Amino acid sequence: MRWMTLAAIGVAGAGAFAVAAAAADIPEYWWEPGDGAPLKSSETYGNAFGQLGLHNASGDITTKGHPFFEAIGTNGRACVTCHQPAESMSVTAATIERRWNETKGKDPIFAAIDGSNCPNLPQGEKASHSLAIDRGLFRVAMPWPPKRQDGTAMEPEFSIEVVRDPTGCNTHPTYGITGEQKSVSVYRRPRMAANLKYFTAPGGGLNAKNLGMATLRDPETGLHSQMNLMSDARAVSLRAQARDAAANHLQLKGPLPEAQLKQIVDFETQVYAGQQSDRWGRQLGGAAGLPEALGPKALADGRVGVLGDNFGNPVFKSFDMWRIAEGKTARDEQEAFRASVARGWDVFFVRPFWIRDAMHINTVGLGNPTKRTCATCHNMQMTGMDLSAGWVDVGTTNVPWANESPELPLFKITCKTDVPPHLYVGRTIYTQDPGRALASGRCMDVGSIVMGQFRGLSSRAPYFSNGSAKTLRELVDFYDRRFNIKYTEQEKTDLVNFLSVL
Amino acid sequence: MKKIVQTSLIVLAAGACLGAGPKPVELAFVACPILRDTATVPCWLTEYKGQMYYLGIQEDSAAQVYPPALGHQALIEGTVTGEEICGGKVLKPLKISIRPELDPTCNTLLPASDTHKITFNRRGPGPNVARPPGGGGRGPAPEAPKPPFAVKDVPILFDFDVMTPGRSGRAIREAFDYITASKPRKVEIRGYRAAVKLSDGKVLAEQPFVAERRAKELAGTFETLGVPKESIVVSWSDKAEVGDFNKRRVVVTIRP
Ligand code: HEC
Ligand code: HEC
Repeated sequence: MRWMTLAAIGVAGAGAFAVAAAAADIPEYWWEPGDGAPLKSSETYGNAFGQLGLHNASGDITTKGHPFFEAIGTNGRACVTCHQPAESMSVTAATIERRWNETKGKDPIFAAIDGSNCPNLPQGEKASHSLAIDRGLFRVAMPWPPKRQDGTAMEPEFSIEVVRDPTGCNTHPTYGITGEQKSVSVYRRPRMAANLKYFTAPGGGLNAKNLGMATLRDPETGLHSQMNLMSDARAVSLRAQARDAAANHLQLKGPLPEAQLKQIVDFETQVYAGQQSDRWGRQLGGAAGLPEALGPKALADGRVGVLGDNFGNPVFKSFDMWRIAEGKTARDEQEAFRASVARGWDVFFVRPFWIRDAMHINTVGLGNPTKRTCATCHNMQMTGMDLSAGWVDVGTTNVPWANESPELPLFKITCKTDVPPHLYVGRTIYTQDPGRALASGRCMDVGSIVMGQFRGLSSRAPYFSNGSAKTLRELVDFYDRRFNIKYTEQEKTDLVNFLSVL
Repeated sequence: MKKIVQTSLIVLAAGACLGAGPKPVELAFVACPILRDTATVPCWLTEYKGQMYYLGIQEDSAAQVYPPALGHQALIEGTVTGEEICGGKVLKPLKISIRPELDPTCNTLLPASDTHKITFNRRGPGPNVARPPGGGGRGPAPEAPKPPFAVKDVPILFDFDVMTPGRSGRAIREAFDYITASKPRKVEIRGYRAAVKLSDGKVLAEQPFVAERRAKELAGTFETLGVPKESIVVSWSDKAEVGDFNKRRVVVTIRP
């Protein structure tokens, strides 16, 4: 791992302990494919909020010759290019922009295939890579019509039209929906390639949440997938995901050799990432008297498959040790920050609001609307994902709730009249990314995105699969608007602080 | 639990049937649901011919009856009881089917007041209690079916006009376990379409294509679960049979 320069960046913000309020010296890191340095069993990397911790449960990793870290494809990229250890095994938009400036756009992360808005654009121009640079997004080309697992085309329940095509890719004669390649281009954030044991263990066969239908099976093992990988759950296993990533992101010609595939999956399933220390809160986890769920070691030790939407064994366990007793005041910044985090735990876990019109949540027996909390959806212990197959339309990509994004494509989806509609939007849906529907072909899945994990958030802005929340505060503001929650300023700050230490 | 039990006199009057004793009033109607917030969990109501009916409180996926949705009308089928909760007469038994298409006029959310209190709720408007009663709805896995295996019919029920099996996971599981154990030559999946006679005398029929969609949907589910495609035979009947919720079904016939 190479440690680059120290950049002084001032981040503007307001409110005591609104974490973004600090002007900070944030180290800059970049892991180059083929770097060859060992990745130690335990690593720490500074970020705007404090430090991220990385933990390799199998000990030090030799990255020399390791297929996750070497450019095994044809475009000079490695998996590590977009899954950087210092950035919670994801990569920030800020780092991508810096790479553009430092390499004058020559870094392989900008490869035309998906590191540009569309492969046909003039690759030397920054504007052709604006989605990667400004929002940290990569192009994901989904086949149209959608394909089944066996590769055969399915008959989708809806038709798709391009309403807005700012990248030109969806109407392009080669890459477009009706072009030679017949694909729908959507733009998504790299998800964390860490803490994967929690959501890649096999799941049950019937997906109660998805209206009683079956979860897909991994053809290699015959076991049912938990269906929590990628924003649309299209990968039924890490092996399937790695093959797909090698072919598409690395442009590997031919199959990924078995030995390399195994090495990639072995690495991915033992690497854990979580915030480890905070600028004000100091050490976060990993010692007696600190919250049990914090830090990368806790992630390595945590149990898989625990439902956390209950007071007996909460999603992120207990933060009670950080509460300040009634009538007392914080002695210093550390105590005040920690108390804010504990209040943020309450905002996440017990503060109710009306969850309304969220397909695959309000549909599962809760009623619409339902008076519940963030933890209703984000219920998997340690990760804050969903213990069931996790795709939900929370409004991040569908009109009317999605943040305005003229730089992203907009599709019009028209559902057939004899299929189950999207219960809360109907049969005509405008969306920036149909999400799960591009894999399932189902109308009711339009705009449903698999919940991402809550860990390492401080190291991997922007947030949501389409990068529509630049900061944690923007993420909280999205929910405040989406569900008309009416958080107080204090609640927002506390919730941001809570999310920042995970 | 707060129950306001009506006197038998009122029940008698409601029965409107002198001499033969009170005959239970069965209702079937389509109306907007109404949501009433309370200090604890919200409760669901609906109004029919000037009378409020109670449709249940907010629970979770383990609930006996799934609540309706604002933004949609619902088909309500229930028998009127003398009990009253949350300002509405209790219907028991009760079936609620959300009408699939949107109706933005169904948008009444009444604020919490001191008049209506829900105190019998198992869980509040947030995380569950430490140990959900009954282990959180997950009982022990049923025993695998044992030979000898005979022809077996498993009905799988659907909400009105709904094409996905939704809550029928248990029945699907039962059928699948029987298939796994008996390795049948044939699994016949036959879809049906139903109609309901509403209280105003009109007949509401399910959409013409539901029988086919239900059967094909379920065949897909069984295939994904691992039932060999060659053994599955799908058929359906488009005739809308008038009757109760038991008619909205797919029958899985397992022939060992
Ligand atoms: C050009 C950038 C890029 C490269 C290179 C790349 N990925 Fe990714 N990765 C992504 C994006 C974007 C997603 C999310 C895609 C989506 O949600 O549809 C993702 C998702 C993932 C996920 C899913 C994590 C989750 O929580 O769902 C895993 C695992 C992963 N990548 C592993 C790999 C591996 C292994 C390689 C190398 C073979 C690799 N990636 C190379 C961009 C990249
Ligand atoms: C109705 C279900 C639902 C509720 C309620 C909900 N979320 Fe989410 N959340 C989602 C979905 C779906 C996603 C994935 C959306 C996407 O990436 O576009 C998500 C993603 C997230 C992420 C991950 C972002 C990332 O980029 O990795 C965070 C953090 C988050 N939500 C926080 C919250 C907080 C805080 C609350 C309470 C205010 C909340 N959520 C309430 C469904 C929900």
